[in-house]
Amino acid sequence: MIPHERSLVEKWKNRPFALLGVNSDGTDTDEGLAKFREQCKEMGVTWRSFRNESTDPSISDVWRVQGWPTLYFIDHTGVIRHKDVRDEEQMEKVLDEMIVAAEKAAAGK
Amino acid sequence: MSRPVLAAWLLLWTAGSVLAQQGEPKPAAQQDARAAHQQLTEALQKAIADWQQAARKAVQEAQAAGKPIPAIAMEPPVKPFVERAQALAEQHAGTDAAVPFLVFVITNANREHDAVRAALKALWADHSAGTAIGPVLAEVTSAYFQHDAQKEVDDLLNAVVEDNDDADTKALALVARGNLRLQTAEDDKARAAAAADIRKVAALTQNAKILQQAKDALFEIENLQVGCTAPDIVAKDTDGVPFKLSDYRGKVVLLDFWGFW
Repeated sequence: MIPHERSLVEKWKNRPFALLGVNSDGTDTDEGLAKFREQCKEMGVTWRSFRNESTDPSISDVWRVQGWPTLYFIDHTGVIRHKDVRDEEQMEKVLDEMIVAAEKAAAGK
Repeated sequence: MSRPVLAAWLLLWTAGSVLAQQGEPKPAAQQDARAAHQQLTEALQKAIADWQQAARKAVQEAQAAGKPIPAIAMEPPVKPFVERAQALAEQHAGTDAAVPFLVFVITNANREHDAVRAALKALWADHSAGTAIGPVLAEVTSAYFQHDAQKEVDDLLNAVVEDNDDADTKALALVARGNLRLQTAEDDKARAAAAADIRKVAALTQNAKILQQAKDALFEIENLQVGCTAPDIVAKDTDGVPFKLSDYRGKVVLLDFWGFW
């Protein structure tokens, strides 16, 4: 999971793409945050995450997440285009199409 | 991958024990059943805690020795407890006192799929017209996926929706069925059927908790489907810095609910 995500972030670093997490690792304590940073360093997690419990109800409750990980694919206009695509090849395919559409829209402005 | 297995079991087991504490006050005749249920729940909790400790140790040792994950990590010691709950459900068959034991079987079973399906059938046959069934419907619905009990879960939910005369119980069944239909929906027609269930709830009950469940389910149907504009997220990042999902308009966003745990 994480190595693949890292490769996506690298692959599309100069394109209109962002990987955003919603993380539930208890980073609201100094101890939790230190451990989280350590693990991010170890696993090469460079992308930004919301802290899941920084809202009440939590983000995962509002989004009715029933299992982890859960993925949402959101286009450049903010519309949900896919959910729960898990296959890595399929993920890259749909994201690539969405990124091309975002670039076309930006060029047309 | 032992940690996810352990974590999943910890979650399941906690959910079961929370439910066990929610029992309504029962008539004196059912005190024995209640005590037996409490005892069974506590004994299972202890067995699971012991198992988790042993499983963690075995996994660590296997990893240190470069060996595959040992079988113990996949085998929580639930079978004797499930069998005991089956016997107690049988002893109280046909009365409300059987319900917590049937729920115990359904929510704590590991590979005892036949026991789960039999317990669902008993809930359907003996309890779908009663009022003890409502509060447990959401929880027993999970067997649909975990124990391949599609038919049994559908039969139970349909029977409560159609045959139960208590408005709150019927409302709870509509919420459970609507949520299940939504979870399994593969097209707009199936999603419309889910929405139809959920929209009936408001006319049936004034119970704030049930109404909130219906509201949450409708939010999912109306805002979290493919084609919907994603609800904005206004929150803090892991460093405590506020930001918004909508800050990223113009970019494709892969939103990932995750954790290391």
